[in-house]
Amino acid sequence: MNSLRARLFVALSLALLVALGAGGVLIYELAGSALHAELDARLDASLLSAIESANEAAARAAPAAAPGSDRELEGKDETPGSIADVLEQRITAAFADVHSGVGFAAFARDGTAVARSASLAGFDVAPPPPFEGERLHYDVVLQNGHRRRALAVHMTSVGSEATPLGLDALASAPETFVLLASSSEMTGRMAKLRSLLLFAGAATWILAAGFLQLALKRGLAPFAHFAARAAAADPETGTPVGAGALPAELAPVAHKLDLLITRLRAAIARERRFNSAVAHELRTPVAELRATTEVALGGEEDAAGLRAALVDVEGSVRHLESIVQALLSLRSGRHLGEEPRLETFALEDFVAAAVARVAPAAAARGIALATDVAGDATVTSDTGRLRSVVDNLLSNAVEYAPASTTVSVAASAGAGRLEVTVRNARPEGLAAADVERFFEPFWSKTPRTSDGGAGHVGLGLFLARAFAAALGGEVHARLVDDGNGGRAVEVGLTASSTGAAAAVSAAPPSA
Amino acid sequence: MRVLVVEDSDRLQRALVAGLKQRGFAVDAAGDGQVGLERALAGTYDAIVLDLWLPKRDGIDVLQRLRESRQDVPVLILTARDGVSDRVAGLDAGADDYLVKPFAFNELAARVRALCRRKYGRRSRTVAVGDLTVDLSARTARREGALVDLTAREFALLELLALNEGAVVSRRDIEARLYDERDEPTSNVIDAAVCRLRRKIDRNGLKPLVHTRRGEGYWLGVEGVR
Repeated sequence: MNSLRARLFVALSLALLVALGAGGVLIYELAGSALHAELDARLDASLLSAIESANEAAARAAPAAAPGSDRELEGKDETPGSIADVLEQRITAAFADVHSGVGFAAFARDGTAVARSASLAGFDVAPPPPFEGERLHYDVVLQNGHRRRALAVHMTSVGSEATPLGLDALASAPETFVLLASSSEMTGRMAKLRSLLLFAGAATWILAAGFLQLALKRGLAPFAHFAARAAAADPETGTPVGAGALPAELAPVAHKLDLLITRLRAAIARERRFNSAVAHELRTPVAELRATTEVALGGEEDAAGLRAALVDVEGSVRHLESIVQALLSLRSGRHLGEEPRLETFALEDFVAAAVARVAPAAAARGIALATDVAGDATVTSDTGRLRSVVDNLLSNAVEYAPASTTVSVAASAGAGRLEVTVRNARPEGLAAADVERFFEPFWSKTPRTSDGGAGHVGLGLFLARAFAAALGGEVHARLVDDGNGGRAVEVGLTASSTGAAAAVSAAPPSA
Repeated sequence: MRVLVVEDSDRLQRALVAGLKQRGFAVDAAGDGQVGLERALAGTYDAIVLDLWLPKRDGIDVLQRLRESRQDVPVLILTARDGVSDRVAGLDAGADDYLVKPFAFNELAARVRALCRRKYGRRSRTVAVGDLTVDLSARTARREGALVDLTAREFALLELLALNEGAVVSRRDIEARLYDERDEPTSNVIDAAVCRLRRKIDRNGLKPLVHTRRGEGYWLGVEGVR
């Protein structure tokens, strides 16, 4: 029942069953009403016919028995020839072409039956319920269980003629006259209709269920296909979920899924590159340690040789330490999890201090430093994080720019945004694809020497990106025209200059 | 045996050079791919230990250039790259062996020795010359079952002669294989070394195995069998 198709099938089948049932009941009720109306109409017509026949008969019988004779009119179950019998004959004759089981009863004002037809086989007929108007159609159940349709009329309505039905000759003048007709035919027709409706309903339901099953199967096929493709979707090798034609309802879902899978694939690739890079970075110093110690222990080194080996061991350990420290600060989010320490400071002073910090390294490579800070702008930001970002951008530029070139720093603040851009001449062989990888952990265009100390393990720009995010901004890198027909490397930071977006809980970017 | 180590990590390079020298190899070193290629093309090496991620010229590039120059010197790639694709790329580029950092130095030395043996068409770890048995892996020599006490340099000389059993090895070849660029052997150092080796191998009463071919060089073998 967990299947969408099965659920829909059950729900729709039940709904169809209910609809068919309701339709059947409606048809049945309408048919019943129609049959009742038809029977009632016949009763009405029969009553009029009976009145006419009775009056005619009464007129013909007048000479033989003077109307109003007490002997003739007393009693209600008299011998043949009594008024009841006469009425019976008259009414039976009047109804003979209409219905079987016709009978009548007449009731006095107090509800006592003053006349009753013999066709009722001695069963009492209850007086009709009080009713307004000329007539009342209602159902009667005789004591033998037979059902009769009854038409009750006030004698006044049928006694418009001089001697209606001749009943006015009774000793106790009847107030109500009830004409009864068997409803068995109608009951039979209704039973047939019920059977027909049941059969037709069941057949319809079975056929509709089959069709529904087929329609659901075909209609939901795209969903099944989609589900299969989604299940087979694999960030490593799977084909896109959205490949091929999909219904309009599913296309956005597939598109979104593919987008997520693409992101997941990229994240997995980044994670793998990161892990691979970490493993690679760790292998070399570990190899140094192992080889150095094995060689030192395996040989017959003198004190100077052993000291030289220890110096190398110390260097390898420092290298390992710098990698581990960088990884720890990256993974623990130690710096990023702290509350931002917002300070307001002059942008010009901040940039000047950053430039001063890299000046010795720049001088060693013959690199000139040029600054361009807009006006007397002030910035409110976390100076520690901002310094980390700017120092990283600057030190990388100074380290990798071609010797004896210029590294320029431009900074501005306005409209709530701080922008710092560092530009240097493009190192030989650096391609646009390389620039896109600047912020990957441990990435380097050329191998770093394993003697590199802290800050040279290839995580600087990676961390800068994390700090920039914590400052509510981002860092970028691209190749741009240098204005002299060549290309320059530009790295930059865009962040909030008001501290408004400095995130307390900013996480390090995914590796 | 003379080995070239091309490794950009100074510390690892120093350890490799020292460790291989301990095991009797003559070792030269290069710190980048360009210098490594130049030395590999110019020198006479029995094996090259080559890092992949090198400044100036990538290790794979060095290897390809080497093979293009018809240099069939055995090359062992020693790298931190452990991916299958890296191994495949390295071996397809012409490497004879591939070892991932970190490594056990003994394993590295054994692999280098195996490469050197293969270069001389030897697969067995021992070479038997008459009643002299030279164990190239254990780096021992036995004459009539008795262990011959040899220094690392003396064993390296014996190893070279044994691998070229019956063939004359010139002084120049001996110098090229046994001495690295830092050594500056004097003119008679080869003769002196052979003389010392002969004294230890051809002890009194034993059939001489170390022979001199005047003006050509030296050879190891049983006279008359060659």
